[in-house]
Amino acid sequence: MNDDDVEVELRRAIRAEAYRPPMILRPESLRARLAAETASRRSSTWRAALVAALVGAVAVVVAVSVSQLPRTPSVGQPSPTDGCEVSTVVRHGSWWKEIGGPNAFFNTEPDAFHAEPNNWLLITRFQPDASPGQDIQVWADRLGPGDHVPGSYNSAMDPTNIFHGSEPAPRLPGGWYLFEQRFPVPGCWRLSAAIDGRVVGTATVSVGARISARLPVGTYMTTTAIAGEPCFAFKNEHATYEDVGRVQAWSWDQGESGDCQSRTSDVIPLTGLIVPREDSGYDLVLSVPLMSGQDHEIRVALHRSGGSLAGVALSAENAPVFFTPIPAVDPTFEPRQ
Amino acid sequence: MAFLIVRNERDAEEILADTALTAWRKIDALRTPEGLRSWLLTTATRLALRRRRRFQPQLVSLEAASDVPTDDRSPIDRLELREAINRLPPRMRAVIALHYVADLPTAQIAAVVGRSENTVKTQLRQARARLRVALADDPPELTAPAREEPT
Repeated sequence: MNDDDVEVELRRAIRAEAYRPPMILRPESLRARLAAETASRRSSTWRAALVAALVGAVAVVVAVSVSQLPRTPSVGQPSPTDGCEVSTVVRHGSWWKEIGGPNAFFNTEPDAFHAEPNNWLLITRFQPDASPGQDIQVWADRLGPGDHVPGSYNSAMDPTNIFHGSEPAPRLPGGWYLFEQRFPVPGCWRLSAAIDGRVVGTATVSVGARISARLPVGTYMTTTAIAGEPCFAFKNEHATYEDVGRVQAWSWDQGESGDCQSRTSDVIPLTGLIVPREDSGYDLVLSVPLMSGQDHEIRVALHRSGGSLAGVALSAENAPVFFTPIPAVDPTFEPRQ
Repeated sequence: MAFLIVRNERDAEEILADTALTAWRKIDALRTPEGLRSWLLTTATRLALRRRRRFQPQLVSLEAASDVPTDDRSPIDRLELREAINRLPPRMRAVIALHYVADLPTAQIAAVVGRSENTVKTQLRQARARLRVALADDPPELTAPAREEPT
């Protein structure tokens, strides 16, 4: 076949592939979306808050409790729970943790936060869910001095899209929503969730001093690829870095399943850098070789999330990055599908 | 078309529903009726690119794989093509979908995906090359990672 013939065949085959599954606009799908949009309109300011969070926040810290690893205590810092009667964690399934109640629950641990000028992302479950047209709010009050920091609504969440490794979040009832909440100073804070101004759930958390200067030691893999970027993993051997440090790293193209636990390319060994930032955190910098012979830089601002890691991809429009701890990167893992 | 980008039937259906609702809500913002198709394509493509991929493995059983419809007229192996498309980065898949399925000119594709026309042409060329290599009878082993040039 000549080039033109190949092009014609390619077009025909791609079109056939595009229309392979029958796409049906289902009424129930539209109804579900309309309900979700009603919820999203409950807060008229969330869009502005989200834009502000993305533009202003070099670091959006992810408060989702994605790890079961023990938290590494910070040297020389008081325990974040000192003098603060924090809420008890209730575990559902193997990894999902919540605090609060009686009718609103926060997916976090009471010592997961540190004072931070930027917003934390907080999954909040209202049980029972708010009715369409009702307002839902989350805020934080510092106990004692009485500081009040309103949270901002981000979006409705579909719990079937929340995973830890390959384990889904438990199917708990109610409405799931993502809020952004800031804790500007350390202390004992009460989180409140309300429907139409009536408090339906509270939790007390202890917000420690900033501890992002310490990284958890271990090998961490991105749970899913950032749009347009490869999956990657790196082996962090030190909790702190005085200067730029080198780490072993690997990258591969995500598997057909869309996560990083399978692959569609070889696993490429890389050298990564851990670069201390001025604000006492660290950036992970990876250089991924391209076919052209040039390198593509991936830069992620790292943050602790519970005992694990999360981050913000500075090289990809501040997309959130979730990491999963793994024993090691096996270059022969999960063959191509 | 959304299926070509997200490679997951359920996600594609949800994008279809989201696109329909967006159109219903914002139809007043459309200045000329002629722009409807392009507007819908832009909405669908951006929704698809923004979508976080589901984690559930989309494994195809051997029985299902053997049921893949074949087109005797086409010399292209559909399974090979499917895998080759899966290997493309999402934005490159969007460019391919807009070119081969929606038949948009490169300038319009550039507007939809928010990249320059030159970048779109480059991505289209790279995608074609990668699909053709993948579809060749004896594809050469890649010794370097096949990554999309960042734009």
